[in-house]
Amino acid sequence: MKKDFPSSELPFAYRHQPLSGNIINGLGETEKIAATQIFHGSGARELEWGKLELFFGLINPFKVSWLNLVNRWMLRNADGVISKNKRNVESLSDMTSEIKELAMKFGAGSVGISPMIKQALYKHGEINYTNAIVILYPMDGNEMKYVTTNRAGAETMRAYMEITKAAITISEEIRAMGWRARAYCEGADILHIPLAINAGLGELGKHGSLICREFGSSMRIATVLTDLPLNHDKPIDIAVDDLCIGCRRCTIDCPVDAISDDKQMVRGEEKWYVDFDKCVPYFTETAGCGICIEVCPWSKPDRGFSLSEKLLEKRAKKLNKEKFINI
Amino acid sequence: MKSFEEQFYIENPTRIKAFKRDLLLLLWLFKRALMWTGKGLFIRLAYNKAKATGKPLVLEDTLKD
Repeated sequence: MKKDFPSSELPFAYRHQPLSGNIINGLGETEKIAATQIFHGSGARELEWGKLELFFGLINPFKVSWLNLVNRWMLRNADGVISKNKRNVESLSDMTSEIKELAMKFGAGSVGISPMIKQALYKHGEINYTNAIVILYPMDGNEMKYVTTNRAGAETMRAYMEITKAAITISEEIRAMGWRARAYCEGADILHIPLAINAGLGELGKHGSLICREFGSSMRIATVLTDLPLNHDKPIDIAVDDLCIGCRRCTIDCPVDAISDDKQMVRGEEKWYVDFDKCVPYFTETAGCGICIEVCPWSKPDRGFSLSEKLLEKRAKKLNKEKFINI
Repeated sequence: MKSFEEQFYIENPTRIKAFKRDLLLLLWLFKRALMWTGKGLFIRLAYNKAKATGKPLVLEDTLKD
């Protein structure tokens, strides 16, 4: 049964609907093509659904708007001066451990490292770094209970600020070692989720967001791109699909029925996909929505590890049973 | 039109370049703050009216280029 969330009747509309976000996103496209920015741009580019994004920015309450401006001001240090004394990397594993320790010390809740992959770039995107340090920062579960309200919107922005500070500090430390490094945070020119999955931080959930064992989906992602040589983490299997296939919490609770029960073909890949045209207008109306993240069983505090363990165990048992029957 | 990163991320800037970037960023932020307080106020009023009357706000009319 649907919970009592705000109505799906919206007090605003387009006279001429922009090109469907699903078409722009490559829904049904069987060829592997790069993604195109539609809505959450980095604040200066003309986007197909840009009017709605501008409207979202203007109806935001003062606190959210103010935090956003402060965040943007901090981002001037996302790139900067590189030390002339380049530190040699003698041991990749030592350097990787050092960077991960630094990330945790500077406030990251979880960290993983991926090579830079082309799936993380938008069409016409050109970013020439070799590695991506992906960090996660948890949102406060007590505040996120108020999803669809400005209170949860402010918590999201606070989490963005904290993760921005962490990512900038990591990039500054790496530049002080004489290596190139650049922090990408809120509304960036790169796609964080493919990098996070490749960095072994989690898997894509039915609701189109990353699911990790530490925080479920109740977190923000930031990435530091760098040329510093590092060991890469491998993608992990935490059995997200095992639950998502049968679980209908987000599909049922989504007031606009934007979440599908089946994976779909998107830019040459069969994956979970959220209907953009249904989701984003409601997202705009409800301070960034977040219902699917809040109701997701993975997002319950301290639940992810045990849930993943149980699901993997269940899968192994099922496989063993099938093997036995076949024998 | 350039993205935020393209405009304000500078690799290895000189002091002058960094200072110029900071000034341009301050101007960019000021414009956004001004928009939120000026145009934004009218939009929030119209939006609240639309919510109260049930007559949807047309984005193209509200946010003219």
